[in-house]
Amino acid sequence: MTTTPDVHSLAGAFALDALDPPERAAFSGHVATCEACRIEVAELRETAARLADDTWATPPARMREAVMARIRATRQEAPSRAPAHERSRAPRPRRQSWRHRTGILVAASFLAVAGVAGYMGVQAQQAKSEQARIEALLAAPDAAMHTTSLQGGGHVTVVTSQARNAAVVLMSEAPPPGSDRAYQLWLIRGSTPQSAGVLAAGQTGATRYLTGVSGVDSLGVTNEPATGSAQPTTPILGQVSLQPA
Amino acid sequence: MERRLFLLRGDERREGVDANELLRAVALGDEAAFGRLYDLVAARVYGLAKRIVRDPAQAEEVAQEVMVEVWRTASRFDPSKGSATAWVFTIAHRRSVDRVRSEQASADRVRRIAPESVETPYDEVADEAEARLERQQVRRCLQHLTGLQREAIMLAYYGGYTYSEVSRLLNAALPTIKTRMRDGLIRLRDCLGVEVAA
Repeated sequence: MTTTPDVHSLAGAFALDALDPPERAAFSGHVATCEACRIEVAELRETAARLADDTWATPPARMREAVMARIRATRQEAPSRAPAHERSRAPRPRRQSWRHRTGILVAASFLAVAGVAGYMGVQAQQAKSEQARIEALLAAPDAAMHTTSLQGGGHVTVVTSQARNAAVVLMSEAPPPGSDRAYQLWLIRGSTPQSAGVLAAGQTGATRYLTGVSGVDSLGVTNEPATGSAQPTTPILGQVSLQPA
Repeated sequence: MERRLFLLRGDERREGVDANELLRAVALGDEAAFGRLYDLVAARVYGLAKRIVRDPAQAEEVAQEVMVEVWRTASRFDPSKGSATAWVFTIAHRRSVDRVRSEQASADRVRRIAPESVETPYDEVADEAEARLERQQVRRCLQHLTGLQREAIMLAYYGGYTYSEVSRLLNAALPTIKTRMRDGLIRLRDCLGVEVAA
């Protein structure tokens, strides 16, 4: 299992719920395949939860009655069962619930991200296979994560798999690009940028699956006319090195 | 001091065992066990929600949702991954943070709260010996962190900020904040003697 220091360093922020949804999804995808991370995350979550010991405040007396009434009217979930393909990969039964939950977490995060990315507008089947490709890449044994902030706000996280010669780009919280403007992604080899896609006009975040990333030095983002440009026409807002750490 | 610490950890473990057993019973639909679990965790679930969302009415709403989620999803609890109380407080923290972030998104504005205002005085604190001891242990261990580790962790946990917001608030680089959150939590883990069976 290959892990990069960069991925590991997100364990603290993850345990504190301090990651943005795309990063949370990327990190969860990685943890699902990394035993060492899983133990560290469990320990750091346990530690973070102890911080709640310093927050005692007496709740209003009516709250207990209200909660008891609500639970009497709430059906409990049956014990979870991991999907078949997850089960066959799970080495020990007691790991199943964790794997299952991680899967749900990743899937749920990606549903949210997919909404941002505008997948809702394309055929459901296409969106589903795109999401499956993204999830598979995030769980790849050689997945490496690279992050940078964008000038003016927002961040870009790129998860690469050299073995798959592919990457997932997660861009979030960028400011609106302006009227008839859009963000454009560039794969940069040496000093030569090649367009890797234009987001929809006005869009401030996206998730993209890119292929053909081997030999690429970095990924850049610029603000371009809504139709996209052949070459960047504005300064690069953020550049993520895709070189192995 | 060491002796007190040892006793404190003994108490902690007893509470942990109780909570684990209660949560297992809750998973089987035991309403009385849920009532006892509620009494054990409600002050912290509500306190944590209030610390993060601030507004008492909203904190009560969040705390109620958390407790109902504990009831509904109790069968997901896996003791090999951590304690029952941590499981409950993880849900409470996530829900509280989701609440402030969605409010932020819907209002389309950035919260501008000075870092120091995160450390609010503790009002209505339950005056129980056990609560006091736990609070003292957490506070003592927080004092063992470096200033940046402590501020980064407290802003994220009690303030509900993302690490990029924390880096802006503390005017420190993103990678630095990421690292301080992780090594700070590791130091805290060692000070509190936190172990996970897995």
